[in-house]
Amino acid sequence: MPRSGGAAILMQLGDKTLHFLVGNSDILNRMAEVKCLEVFNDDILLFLDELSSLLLQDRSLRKYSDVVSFAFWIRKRNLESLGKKYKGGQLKLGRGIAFHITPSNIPIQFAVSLVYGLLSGNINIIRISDRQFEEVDVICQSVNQLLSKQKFSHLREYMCIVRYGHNAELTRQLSSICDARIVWGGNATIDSIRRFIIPPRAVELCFADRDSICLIDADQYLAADHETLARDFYNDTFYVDQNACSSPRIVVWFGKRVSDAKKIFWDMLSKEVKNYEISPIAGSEKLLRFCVLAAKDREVSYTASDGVKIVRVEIKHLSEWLLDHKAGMGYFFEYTANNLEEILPLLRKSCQTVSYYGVSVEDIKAMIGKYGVRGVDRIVPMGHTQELSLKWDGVDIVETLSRTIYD
Amino acid sequence: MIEDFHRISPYSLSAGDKSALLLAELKDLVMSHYERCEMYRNILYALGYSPATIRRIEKLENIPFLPVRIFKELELKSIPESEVFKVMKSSGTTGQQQSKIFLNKETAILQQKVLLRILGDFVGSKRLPMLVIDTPQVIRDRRMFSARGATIMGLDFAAKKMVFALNEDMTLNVNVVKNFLEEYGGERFLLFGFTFMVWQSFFDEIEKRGVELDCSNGYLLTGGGWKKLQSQAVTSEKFKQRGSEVCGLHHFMDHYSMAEQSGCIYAECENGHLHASVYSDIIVRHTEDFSPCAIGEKGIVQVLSVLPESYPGNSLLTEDEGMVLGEDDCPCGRKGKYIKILGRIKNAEIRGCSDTYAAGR
Repeated sequence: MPRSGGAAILMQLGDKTLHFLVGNSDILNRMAEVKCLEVFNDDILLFLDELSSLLLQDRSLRKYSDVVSFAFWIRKRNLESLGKKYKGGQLKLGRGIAFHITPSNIPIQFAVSLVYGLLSGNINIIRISDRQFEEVDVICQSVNQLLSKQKFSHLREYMCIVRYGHNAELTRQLSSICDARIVWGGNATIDSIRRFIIPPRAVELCFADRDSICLIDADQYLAADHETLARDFYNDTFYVDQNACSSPRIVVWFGKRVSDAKKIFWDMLSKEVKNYEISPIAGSEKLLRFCVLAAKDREVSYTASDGVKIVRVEIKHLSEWLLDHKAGMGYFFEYTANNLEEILPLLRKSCQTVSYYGVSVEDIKAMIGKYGVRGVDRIVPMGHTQELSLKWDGVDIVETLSRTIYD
Repeated sequence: MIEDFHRISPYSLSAGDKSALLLAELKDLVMSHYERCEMYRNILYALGYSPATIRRIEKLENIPFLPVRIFKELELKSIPESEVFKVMKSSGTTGQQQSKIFLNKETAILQQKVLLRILGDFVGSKRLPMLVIDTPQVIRDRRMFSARGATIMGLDFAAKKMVFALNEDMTLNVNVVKNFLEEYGGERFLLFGFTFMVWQSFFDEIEKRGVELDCSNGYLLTGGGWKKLQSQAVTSEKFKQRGSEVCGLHHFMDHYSMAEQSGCIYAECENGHLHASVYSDIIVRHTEDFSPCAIGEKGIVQVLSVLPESYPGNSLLTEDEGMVLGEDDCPCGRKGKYIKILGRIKNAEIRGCSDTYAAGR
């Protein structure tokens, strides 16, 4: 017997507005009756391991290093080790139907979100936008290929990947039947999705707009391998058009020989960006953001190098609103600090990732604890800001998307 | 002094004379805004300009420019609140934010005067009756007030009388048009519309209804770009041919303009070239480093105008792609640069986790 009226209405909507990349409307309509799985279910781990192999074999995906990283991340051995802390104690089960709204401009994110949902034991509806990406198609084909195998046929009912445009009625109905809703894509997306209510006991994970910073000790940097660090910094920034939440927007320098270190650092980055293709509008966007900031604070200065690929904005004093003036695609604020406490204004609510080189993690943590700041979810070495993780925005995803049965 | 410009026929100066005149006037204007507009002063200061360096500028291409979208972000004005005569707003196509352009009476009058002088060079200096291929709603209803409405309002002054050809539902108001032509069609008159609307609500409608309208004395002024029509494979040539077939039009004049530099339009001559008048100039720049492009090279369009006196909008980097086709040597005889506008600069898809669902509504 159906537990929810929502499913029946979905059927009436038919397939016209919904395009299934994985699954079909029958599977979608029966989701309310599918049993939840334990977290890190063995079959799910096997499924993801085979998905990993398929993706790594596919030569057409080699050029997408984020897909390759994803494929490595979902290997059984890796997930098993990540899963240890959730297994062997209290019983943990998925919450039920997880409805994921994934961003249209990071193709891999829908797959990451699916893995979150599966590892937590949920039955997943993944909404992707109607923008086309090769990576999305190839990943969905691989998922379908595996689900068509007899040994994975029982997992078919755990995932539907659907594509639809801005259809309020669909979003409303899918929201009304879910037990967990995961919203990627920033503040405006969250605002528009929040208009659709979810059932009283459903949980919601929203990933809002965030900003991130990078701390470098100049003296330590001067003694390090500059080429490797340039590549690391490139991966944190330009690789994702400096537009990911975890991409640093500002470099804060510490130490004695700051000007020497800065010169080498940006010269080395110049070499890395040689092949970076900059959007034709990027230059004027960066100039615009600078002008808007300068109108308010004239004590800033603008330096462009490699054409307009790298724009550095030297800041004389840090303020809480500084990162409201961020731009992407190679727009870096720069500040020289005498002590760690000076960065406190940057650690506001929206601050997500602090990446560092040569700065002590213990010192950063001690400061965060001492001042009880609202921001900072994550402290990682330079080059690791884009790493996949089961914790995001300070939330343990598996804990949140599952239920613990205490005894 | 702006009066010096009024004494010159709008397309009579060749490169050397024009750039000398523009450079002197623009430097004065930049200085003047630097003194009167604090935010503008801050921006120039942060970009490394001082009164001394402004005075030392020797080339037009070194006049500092602001991205045009800054008027959507900041209320930039060089006049006290009490002198604000009119605030021009335009929505543009990206997002809901509107440009706000603050005009004092002098700048507003100057814009109209220059518009008349430019149009006069093409259709004669007499004010003419104008048939607007749009609905009167577009200027009446504040909610609809858009780039379209702003452009029409900007032309209001140039027309002896303005008549709107469309009903609220964008269908042709045949009676109104017939009456207009009966009264004014025997002599030279103007038509104005956005290319897409002229095609869809005028040419299509005339044909569909089988009405006979004689616009052979009309000068069709168009604006708004060709993007929408291009998607239907309608070229400028095809547009003109159809206009001549359905209602006998044979004078066509497209133009390029923006609310941020109202008045200084770039009007199309009989060779299909958009011309910069003495009041304004175009510099096309490479998007990778903002260096100026050579003639015939594609790039991002910077517009210079000596009209903005009440707001610091004399030198603006647009978001349009274009190229300079030539200078001083158009077969039509008009001096100055002539250009081609290719549409909006492409905004390549940007990776990252910014807004996705709400965007694009």
